[in-house]
Amino acid sequence: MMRKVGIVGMLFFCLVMPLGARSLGYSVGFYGQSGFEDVHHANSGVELSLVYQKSYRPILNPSFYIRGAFGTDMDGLFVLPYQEVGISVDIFRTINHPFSFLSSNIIAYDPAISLAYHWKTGQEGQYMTLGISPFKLSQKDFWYEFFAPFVSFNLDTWTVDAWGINLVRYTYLYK
Amino acid sequence: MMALMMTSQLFAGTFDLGITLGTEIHLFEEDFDQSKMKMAWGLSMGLNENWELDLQSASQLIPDFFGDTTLSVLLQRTLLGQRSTGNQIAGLGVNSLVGGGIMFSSYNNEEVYKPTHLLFSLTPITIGTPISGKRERLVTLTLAYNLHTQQVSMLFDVIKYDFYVVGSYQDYL
Repeated sequence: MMRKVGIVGMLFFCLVMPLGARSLGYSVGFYGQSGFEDVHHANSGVELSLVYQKSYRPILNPSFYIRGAFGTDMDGLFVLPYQEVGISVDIFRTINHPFSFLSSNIIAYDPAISLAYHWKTGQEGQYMTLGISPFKLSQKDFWYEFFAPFVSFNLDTWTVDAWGINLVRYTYLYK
Repeated sequence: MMALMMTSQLFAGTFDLGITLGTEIHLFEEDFDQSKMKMAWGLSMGLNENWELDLQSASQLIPDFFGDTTLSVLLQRTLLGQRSTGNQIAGLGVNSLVGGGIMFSSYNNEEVYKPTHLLFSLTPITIGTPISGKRERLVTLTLAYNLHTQQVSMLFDVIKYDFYVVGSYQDYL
């Protein structure tokens, strides 16, 4: 399973990363997730992502990411709960918003939605994650995201498998 | 109480009030607290140029969304100099905090909401000041001694933000 994740991840990464990429970055987030029916499957920890943003459009601006999470479960044991490959779309971007006080410099508000193919470590089946980032703020090379909830679905049974929150996530884009 | 603080000579010129938002994890006390992620929220009040009083709640988000909330009262002091200059001069942008306090929770055998923990807190890095209007507190470690079970647990806050609504540079223009 891990090999499959690695190969698909590398393929995706190569496809979306031309050598001249100007907006390749990484992100670090603090996540927590819980099983939808069984809360004892909860875990929390750090989420790491590689991000590629090809354009900087004011409306429906896409970015792509590969993401992995590691943390601890309810027994305090270290776990690698999931990996994802997905797309995030900034719905719109504006500098006229009520969250300007959060930053000393001018910062844009660009709420985003995301859709990802989701692998669960040690579990068979196909999963998809749907997320929303209602408090996303961005500067040219930095994104701040706060309180971004997500839900993962089991594509085999079309049932909700887990839900979670990214309490904070910081993304830095290289120039 | 607020009026007293704002009018008292002791706090004259340097009183500030900030809204706190951030993260929290409670470790090593799983018998009472099985949360995996908490959101910290509350108020930070500057008492003078070095001391502050923090009222901080922590609400469980994972796995039980707003399942329980603790309340901590902490008296903290800066270690590297003034936390606020009390005027429009920015002052020291980087600092550390150390302090102690008490936590109210239901983490006791009776599951009654009452004072349960003595706290000793260290924040190695703060960036920003009340004067600049914002402050980030990074990797705060708090030892929590449970008065009822005599256990020691730990509160770990990756990041907390203080947004100052009173006492920023705008009040000294």
